[in-house]
Amino acid sequence: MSQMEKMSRPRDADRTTRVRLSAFDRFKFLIFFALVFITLVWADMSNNPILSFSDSVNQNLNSRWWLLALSAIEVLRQVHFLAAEILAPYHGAWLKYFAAVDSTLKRISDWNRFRLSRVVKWLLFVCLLAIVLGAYYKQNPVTALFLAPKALWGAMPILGQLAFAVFFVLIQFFAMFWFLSKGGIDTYFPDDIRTRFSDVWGQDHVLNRIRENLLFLESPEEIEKHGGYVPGGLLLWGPPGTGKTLMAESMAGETGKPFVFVDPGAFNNMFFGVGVLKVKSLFRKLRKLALRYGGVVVFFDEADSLGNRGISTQQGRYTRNDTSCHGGNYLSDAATSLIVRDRFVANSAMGGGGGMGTLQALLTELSGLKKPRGFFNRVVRRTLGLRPKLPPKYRILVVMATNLPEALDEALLRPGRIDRMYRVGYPSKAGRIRTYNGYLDKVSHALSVEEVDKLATITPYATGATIKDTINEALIIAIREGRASITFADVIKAKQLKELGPAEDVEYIERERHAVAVHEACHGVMAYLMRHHMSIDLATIEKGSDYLGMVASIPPDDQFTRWRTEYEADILVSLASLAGERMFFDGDNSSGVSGDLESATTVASFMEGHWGMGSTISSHASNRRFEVGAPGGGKGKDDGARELRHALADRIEDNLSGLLAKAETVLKENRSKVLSLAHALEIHKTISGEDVVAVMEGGKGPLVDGAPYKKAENLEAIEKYHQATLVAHKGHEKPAVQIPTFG
Amino acid sequence: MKRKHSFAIAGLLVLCALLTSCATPSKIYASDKKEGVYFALPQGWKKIGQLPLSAQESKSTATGAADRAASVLWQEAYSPNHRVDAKSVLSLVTPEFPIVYARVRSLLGDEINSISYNSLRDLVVPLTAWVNQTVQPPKFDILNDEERVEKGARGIHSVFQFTQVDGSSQTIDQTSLLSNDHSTIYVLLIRCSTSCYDKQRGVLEKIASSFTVRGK
Repeated sequence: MSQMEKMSRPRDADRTTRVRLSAFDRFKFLIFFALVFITLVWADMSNNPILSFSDSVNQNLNSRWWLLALSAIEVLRQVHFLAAEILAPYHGAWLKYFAAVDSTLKRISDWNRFRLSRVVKWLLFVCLLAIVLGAYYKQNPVTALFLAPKALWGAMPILGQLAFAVFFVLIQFFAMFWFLSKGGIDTYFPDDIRTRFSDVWGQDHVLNRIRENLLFLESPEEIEKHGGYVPGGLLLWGPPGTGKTLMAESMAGETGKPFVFVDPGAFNNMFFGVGVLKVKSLFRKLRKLALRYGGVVVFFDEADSLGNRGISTQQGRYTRNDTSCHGGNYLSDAATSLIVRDRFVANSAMGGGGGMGTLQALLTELSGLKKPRGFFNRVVRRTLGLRPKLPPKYRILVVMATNLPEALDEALLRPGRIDRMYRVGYPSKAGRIRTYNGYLDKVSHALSVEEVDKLATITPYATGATIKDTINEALIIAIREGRASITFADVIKAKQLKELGPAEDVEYIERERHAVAVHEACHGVMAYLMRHHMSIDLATIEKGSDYLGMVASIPPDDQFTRWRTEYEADILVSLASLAGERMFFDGDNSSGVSGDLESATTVASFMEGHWGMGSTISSHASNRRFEVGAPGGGKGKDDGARELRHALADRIEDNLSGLLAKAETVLKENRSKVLSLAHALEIHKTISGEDVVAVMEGGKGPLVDGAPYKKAENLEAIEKYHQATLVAHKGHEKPAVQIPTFG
Repeated sequence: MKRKHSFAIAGLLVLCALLTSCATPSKIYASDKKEGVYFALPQGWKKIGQLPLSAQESKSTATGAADRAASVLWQEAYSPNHRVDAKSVLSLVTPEFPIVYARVRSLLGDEINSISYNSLRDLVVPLTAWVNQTVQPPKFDILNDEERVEKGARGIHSVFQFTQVDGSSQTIDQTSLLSNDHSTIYVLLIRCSTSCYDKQRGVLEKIASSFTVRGK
């Protein structure tokens, strides 16, 4: 125990003497000096063959006095250490001395001490330099110090060469980065562009807001004198082709300020940092323009290319909201899911095109520190004791356009950066009419006002781009047929070509053609009879890439709410094929109904579980989220889930069965109508909605004359043909009766 | 024990440093490292440097003297007498004290072709002619004549004494070497009155033997 205490190392403050040095530490410098001395003696002897060792030693002792001086200092130091190791009072005196020195030094402020030490270091450096130069020039150190600049001047050529080499290497990088940081940015000045707001059709509500923004930019005093500020950012989002870029172009045409167009690819960069440089140089340019012209508009097309900083920031407005009232509601489910997948893919790859600090640089430039700018402002004014001036108000209106608002970083969209967000949706019917007229005016056509109105009605999701394309396609069709003027039929043909793609040139065998026709006729008749919220656009039995035939319907009006009866009608139309095939083919049915059943079941499920259109009220979505059972369901968690599904599926099936029975009844009552429509389809392959109506009502359609279908003998012939194909269907043979033709 | 040891070593080192710091070399080492010529003299001798010697030589009006002066690469003279000057070094007047004169000179074109051991002997006085009696010689005696081979040169070391016109007797210890590439001659001339030479023969012979030529 006592030994342990002895072994314990005393604290520094408890020691009365200095810690003993090891033998090597005591002599290492002396040994080093001795080695240097011997080396010097040896060098002298090798230089002079007649020099004896003793004389060489003597010579060196005389000429290398500094080595001896160093040795003497080292010896003194070691003696001092040794004394401090042995004599406690001696060590104590020194400790007291050092403590006094320390306390004196501590009285000087840290900053002064730093400056003092810097001065001392510089002086030491100069002294050392003087000694070295003195030895080199064989002059006294002070003279040598004055000789050095002359030598430096003499060395200027080689220094210049070195500097040039460094410059030569660096200039390549500077040049490369400079060139890389240019481009992708176009500046338009007022009157460069002739597009005006009047050229944007069908988006008046957005245009009005944009006009307002431009007004504030052009006369900022209006808002600034009341203490407000000019809104600095604008986001136009919406489906592709709805005219966002056109709007930007019209802004450029309307505004009296310069308009800077930023290419979507401008921030794709090969080297780290180039994107940041680009953003900085862009905003430098914008500030300059804003100062010179009192304001500037900058437009980022396809702003989603700026990317975002990963999924963690994506808890924002788009993911939280249900798709039915915001976000992807303009898109079909398939498109929405595509977007969601895109977003995940993009995020797993860390943002979109920008990346590597580009987005962050943009965010800072949009609302960073209001820092003083300019060399004179920052350096010269500060040197003269003036405070740098704050930057002036740069009035920069940032406009971004995207069809993927979810891909934008949330920080980009906060007020102060992007103050206003406008959805540029599908144009209204009036807008579509305006657009059709606009494009039709550019070509020769024979469409009446009513026909244009009808066109606008049957193309509810048409955008400026699709309308332009349709009209152009119609023109091509007309030209191919040797005409210079477009007719309504050309436009309809073009529309079908655009929507359905070119029909596959497949010829059905007769009994299959009849089966497909009956299938589609069931849909058509049911749609005609039961579905009043949509009108039939076209019916066809021409095989396309992914369908045998189809009956397409469109909403005749812009409608934003859906009703239970409408969904039931949708299900009836879907189930009509199954009911009809079973009815007309003696209980047989084809696999072609799978798609119909799928959509019927989907709609029925939503009705039952989500929309409150079934026999229960509670929402299946909520039930599932809170893991409570369905009304009347099981007790345990697992059982509950199973019961829930079970009960729900049962109710859906019940609902569907009821609707199937109803469909059967409707079709049974309208057997002749179905066969008539099937006949018309077999004859004409593709007919329009009006033709369907003509067959139903005995009127006259564009292609089909409905009158023959009102005559009893014709209906009889059709029925006979159907019976013959039914026999052929069962026996897999050619029908005995040819399809009847009228007129 | 260990502490005492350290003390002893430290003390010894201090003593060494103090003692040796006032020590001086035992000899003067004259040398021209560029030409690779070395010789050693006793401490205390006076040096006559290259500048006064060249200045004195340029005063000569003898034929070819200017050419020879221009081709001198290095020269130095020493004497124990501090009153000696360049003039007495470069004349043949018999000195009463030793004069050591070293000279390195590149040879002129003609000399390269005609140089021989005999012409090396005849650098100061026409020794060969005296021996061959082709001229009327003064009273002279050759004390030593031997070939001397150094690393960078070879030639003749001869010691002779002769009586001047004024009747004084002078002894000359002359080492004249020709560089291996026949481009340069190295000369060490030690002269003194015969009585003085005899008196200091040991010292002077040591100087002569220290003459070392390594060459360039």
